[in-house]
Amino acid sequence: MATLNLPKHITERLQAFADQQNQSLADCVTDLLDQVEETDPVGKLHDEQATASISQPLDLDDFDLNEAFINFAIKHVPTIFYVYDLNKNQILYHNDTIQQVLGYEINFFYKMGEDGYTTIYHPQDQPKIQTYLEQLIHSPYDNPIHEIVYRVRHHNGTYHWLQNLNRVLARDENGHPQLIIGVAYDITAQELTQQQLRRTEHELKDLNWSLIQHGASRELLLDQLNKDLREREQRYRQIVETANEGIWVLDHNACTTYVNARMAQMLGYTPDDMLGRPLWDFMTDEATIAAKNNFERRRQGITEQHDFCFQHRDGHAVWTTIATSPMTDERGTFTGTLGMVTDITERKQVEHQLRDYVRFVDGLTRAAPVIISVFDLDTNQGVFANDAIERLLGYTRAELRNSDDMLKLIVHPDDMERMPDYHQRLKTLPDGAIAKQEIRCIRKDGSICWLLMQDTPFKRDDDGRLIQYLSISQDITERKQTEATLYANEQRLRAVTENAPDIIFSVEVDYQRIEYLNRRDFFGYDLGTFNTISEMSEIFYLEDLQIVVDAWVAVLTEQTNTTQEIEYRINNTDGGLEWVRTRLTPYLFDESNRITHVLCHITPITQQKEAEIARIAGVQRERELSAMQSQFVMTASHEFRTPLTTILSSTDLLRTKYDQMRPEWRTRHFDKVESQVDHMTSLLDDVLMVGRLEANTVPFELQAIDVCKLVDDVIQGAIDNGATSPLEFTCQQTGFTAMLDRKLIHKIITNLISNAIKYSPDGKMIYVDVEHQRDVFHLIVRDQGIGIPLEDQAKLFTPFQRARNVDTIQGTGLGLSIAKHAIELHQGSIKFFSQPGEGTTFIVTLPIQPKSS
Amino acid sequence: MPTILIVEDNINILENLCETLEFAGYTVLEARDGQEGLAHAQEHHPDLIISDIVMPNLDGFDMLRALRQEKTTESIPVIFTTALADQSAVQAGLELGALRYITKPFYSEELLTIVGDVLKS
Repeated sequence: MATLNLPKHITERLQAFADQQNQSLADCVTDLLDQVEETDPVGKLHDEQATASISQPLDLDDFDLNEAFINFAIKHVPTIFYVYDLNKNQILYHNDTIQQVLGYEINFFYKMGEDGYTTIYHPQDQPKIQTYLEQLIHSPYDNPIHEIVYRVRHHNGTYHWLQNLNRVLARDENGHPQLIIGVAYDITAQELTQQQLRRTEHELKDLNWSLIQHGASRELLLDQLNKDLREREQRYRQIVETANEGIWVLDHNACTTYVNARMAQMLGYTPDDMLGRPLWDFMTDEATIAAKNNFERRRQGITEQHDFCFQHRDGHAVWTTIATSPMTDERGTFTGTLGMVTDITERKQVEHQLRDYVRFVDGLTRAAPVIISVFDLDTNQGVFANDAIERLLGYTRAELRNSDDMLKLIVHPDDMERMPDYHQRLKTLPDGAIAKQEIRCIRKDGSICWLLMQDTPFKRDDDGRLIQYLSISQDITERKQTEATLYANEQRLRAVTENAPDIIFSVEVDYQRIEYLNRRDFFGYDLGTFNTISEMSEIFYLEDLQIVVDAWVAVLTEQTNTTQEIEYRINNTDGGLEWVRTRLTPYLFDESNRITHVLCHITPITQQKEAEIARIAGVQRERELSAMQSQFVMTASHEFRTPLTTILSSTDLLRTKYDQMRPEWRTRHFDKVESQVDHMTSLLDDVLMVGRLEANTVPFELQAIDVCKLVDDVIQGAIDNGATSPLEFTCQQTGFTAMLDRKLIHKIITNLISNAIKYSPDGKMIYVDVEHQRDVFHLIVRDQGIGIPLEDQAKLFTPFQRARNVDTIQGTGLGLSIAKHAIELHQGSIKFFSQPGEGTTFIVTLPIQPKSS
Repeated sequence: MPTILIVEDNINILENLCETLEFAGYTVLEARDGQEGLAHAQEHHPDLIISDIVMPNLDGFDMLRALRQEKTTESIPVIFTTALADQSAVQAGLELGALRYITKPFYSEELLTIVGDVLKS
């Protein structure tokens, strides 16, 4: 019987029952409990669920959810919930309900010393409380629920009846229960009602006795008795009807003869509904078996209090606690039972929750792969730790408890330095807040174990100062080792990439953050100052920015791991441009395969690019030259075909019509042939000259030449050849020389002067000037001839291009082209002004001494 | 005898063509560029036009285009004489409606044969 502590009257009844059954009291109680458990489908169901939930793998997320739920339930149930330390004789935790029930201010119970509780217990209940605590201290390992009812003084001085249920929550290293968890119900109202009833019964008996002893006359007595009885019955009925308990009277067949309104309401009926119906109508079939046994015990005169589950009219279970006693008539014959029924559905639910919670917490702490511990900041010792601490650190809990300084034993010396600060920080945390830290611990075998600690305030003193914190520590050694390996790899990669001429960095896509950069200096920029790729955009050459943007869009929209390669220009810090090639390669993806990181690889390619541009320009130039050449050949062939046509047609006529031709026509045809052959010869000379000039193969030899004398010679030659226009030559400063190629300068001057003569059909004066100016001289040839139409001026120096107004004036269309080439070979220039019909002026400027190239 | 209009900016060639065709018995009209050629064609309605292509003022192609737009001149056959050996230029002339082309230089006999053929058809 050590495990049970039942109210005395129940123990007495049980003893009587046991005697009748010829059983020991313990056996009798075990039987009864078995019966109760069999009729407890709700309880069983809860057990199964609790077991199921514990057998599943646990993780911290579930823990948070359940803890939140349980915290809520504990805070809001009208039941007192508390945790009690048997060693310290102190409440470690209670919910707010205790205040509502007993009226004391917050922290009253926490502040109370070891002996404090005895001051609020009812003096009569002290011995049984002492006995009860003894029972708890010796509570066996199967962890039964203990129960006690005692009185506690309310803040206002009145006593409240509390029904307490307790169970062991944690044991110390010796296996002795240390923490117990408890719930308490205020059953004062129930107790008072029962006392009232008992008092009424006593009063009636006392009255009988006094009447008989005083030998009053029977009639008078009866009258008086009836009157008193009516009054008392009325009072009694009033009490019964207004009682908070259900009152249920059954006849000897267990049929209802009376129920009060509360009882009927408890089961969802009116009293009239229930009258005449047997007890079994208000319960499940299984419960009926137990109820029939119970009723049989009533028949045997046993009074009992027990929990019983009725069925509500709508089918749900109504948990009650019943105090029932048999009723007999004056001859002692059994006439039925009287039951006082209290609805304890709520209490049962809390009880189940508590049982679940205890199992849950127990299972959780045992099975958790994390260390769950409570650390006391005052004593600098752990006060609780689950099995995991032994598995993870290799020390037994006793070893840790007995060490002088537990932290010093297990925390790495380097991290130990941080602990005081960390504890200081914990002390500033509000309840419910969580602090985290990663620390190294040293296992018993000397190896390092990384722990991620998540700590939250647990217990405070009267002033609200934190004295204990709850800690959940996760083994992150493996992660740390992986991180260390990664770090080493990254260092290696960094070493390789930092020595590369290229810039390599990683971009985190969501925020465009630049996360890794192998080198900071890049064409005078410090890339380290750019946090995002947008900030970096200032270095891109504006005209090429779109190329970069398009490539990024392509990478991000295609969502594949294909590389985008682009070439574009960036501004260097010297105000110039640099060519770079960039490869964008997505290399990290999230679980839905979305790109999260892109590797950006920039290679400077300016030299390469410039070479390529030069090559392309070269190809282009070659193509242009080739096109010019074929154009030249075609035009040249056209220029040769024209005189050939005249020659062929003239010789045809001479051959076939010689006899029919007038002699002067014959002569004319011979002249034509001759002049066309001359024309073709000069054409051929000019073509060859152009070809040599363009191919730069013409002999070019500078010598000092008296310019004025040369010009004068050419003019004289023209006059000797029968120039059709007069020529006037002026030379401001004679006798100066310039370094010139004799053949070419002769050709230049001859071309210009013969052109002037050719295109002055009216024979008007031609002016030739030579002007010497420091290191250059000008040759100016001005005629008053036909001039050059505006639309032909632009192409004047192009081979074979002749103005449209040349009419029959002979010419190859190559003279000016040759002159220009020759002048440029001397590093000089040629320009002209012309008005159609009024004449043309050519100005040639040549250096006295061309720079050697 | 049929009348032939010769359009040619090179005076030597023009003279020689005239002489060759006149010796063959044709009546010959002369023009020094496309503009003059067009005017003569509209005025005299020759039976055939022999024209150079590259000429000042109005070239042979433009003259032919203008001829084809006038009712009175649209059906006059045209032979181009050309120093342009470029096939694309030749093709362009034929597409415009020139009947034949002769590449310079050419023998008189060859020209007369072509002229005879064109006038016959």
